[in-house]
Amino acid sequence: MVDVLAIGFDELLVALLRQCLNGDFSEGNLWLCLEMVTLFLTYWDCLLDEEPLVLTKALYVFLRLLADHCRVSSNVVIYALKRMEVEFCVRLLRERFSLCLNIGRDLIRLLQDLVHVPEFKGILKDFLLNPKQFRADGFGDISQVYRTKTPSLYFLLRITPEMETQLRFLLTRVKFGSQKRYQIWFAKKFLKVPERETVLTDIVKFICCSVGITQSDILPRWAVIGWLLKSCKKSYVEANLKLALFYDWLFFDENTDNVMNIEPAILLMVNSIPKYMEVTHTLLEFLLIVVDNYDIERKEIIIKGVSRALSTLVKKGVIGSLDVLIRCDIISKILREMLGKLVIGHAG
Amino acid sequence: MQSLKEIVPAASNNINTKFIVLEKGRIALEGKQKMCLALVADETAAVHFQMWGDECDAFETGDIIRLENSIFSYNRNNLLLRAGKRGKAEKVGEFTMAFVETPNMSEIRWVPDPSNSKIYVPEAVISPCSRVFPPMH
Repeated sequence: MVDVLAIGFDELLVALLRQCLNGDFSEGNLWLCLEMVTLFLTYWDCLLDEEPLVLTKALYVFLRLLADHCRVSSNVVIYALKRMEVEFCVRLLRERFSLCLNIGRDLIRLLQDLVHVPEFKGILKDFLLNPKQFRADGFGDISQVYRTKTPSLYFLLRITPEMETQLRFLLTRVKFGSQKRYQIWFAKKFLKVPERETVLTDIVKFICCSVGITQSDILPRWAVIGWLLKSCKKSYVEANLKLALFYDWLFFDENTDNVMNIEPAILLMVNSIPKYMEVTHTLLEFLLIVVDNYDIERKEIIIKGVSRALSTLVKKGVIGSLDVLIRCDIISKILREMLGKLVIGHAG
Repeated sequence: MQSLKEIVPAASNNINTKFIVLEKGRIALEGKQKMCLALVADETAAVHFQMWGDECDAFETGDIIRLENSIFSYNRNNLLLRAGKRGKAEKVGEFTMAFVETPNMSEIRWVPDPSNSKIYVPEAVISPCSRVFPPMH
């Protein structure tokens, strides 16, 4: 189909990319990943001419897959696959960086998850120290990438159509309070194998950025995310999930960002008081640590982003006031003080 | 197609309906035949569903099943919905069906209609939800 540029071949490629599963090391899935990366490398020039955006979608998918493929002890198949995925991603990032910028800020989130891979470490280093090398028009600093919101279609790429159907059903038809059985069925189907846990991060991004606000008696997005957070068994998955949840907070700009993308995190923190205080604590603590440490050179940008996020959440009426957190005695005093400083846009 | 709230005990295979499987009990052997009790429901009501033979392994919780020419009748004092020999149970989907657990049609006491003893009418609610599979919150 690619050879003859058949109508709709790009959509077919996207549909196949969605079937390359994260955290699935079965023979069939690894085969599909290998076929797909081979195809993208083989038809590189043709795709670049005809459907360049399908390459950025493949980049998003392979960066996420690499995060898993680089974590397991390698056998011959995974090693070969990994090399090809790295080759594809590095080539696109090095040769066609302006194209990659279409992904927006989550490109950096994904790359940072791969910082232990020398090739990506090099790319991130050049982003920070040597941005001109990427020869992308107007690209002078990584903060430009931070400012670009990632289009929601990228998050959909990591959710299979079946998973999408069930999640949308959960968030449009299931009454708040009746979700227990559905959650068990969902977990049984999609999260049964421990390695599949990594998809939780992708589900969180999908819910925050691709699913609209729910009706009043229906299971709210924040409650689903609370359940997903509780489902994390590995600490690195939990950290990745929290980062995904807060990522749009860090660079929030009310002119370009959507308050709906940051709404679930605040509601999860606020509604967990007082019954699930540990959730409020762990999220608030994570946010404050990230503000301090995520990008020390550009801390001012992040403080501004989070400060804007908080004020927009109040301004738009998502929460009445930040006092529910700042004046909540059961939250540790240090966290509340740091949050208070953030609200007015100062370093913690 | 009937909703579960509309079903009435009768001695004939006349029920066509669709539901989602909420819970399965243990698979037991009755003679040489496998059987398994399940809690199933749709948007209107829940009921106990008796699976027989291959049905016990074919259907899982979360499955949506269409039942044709099935029967809702007493089996050793338990009121159960089952495909029966002439009926057919078929999986038609998964997950995407809303349900309620009250009323449970198997937990209603039915009596013959005084004006027509061939028809059953509900007399009393024995339990709002299944006593075999209590609700999950």
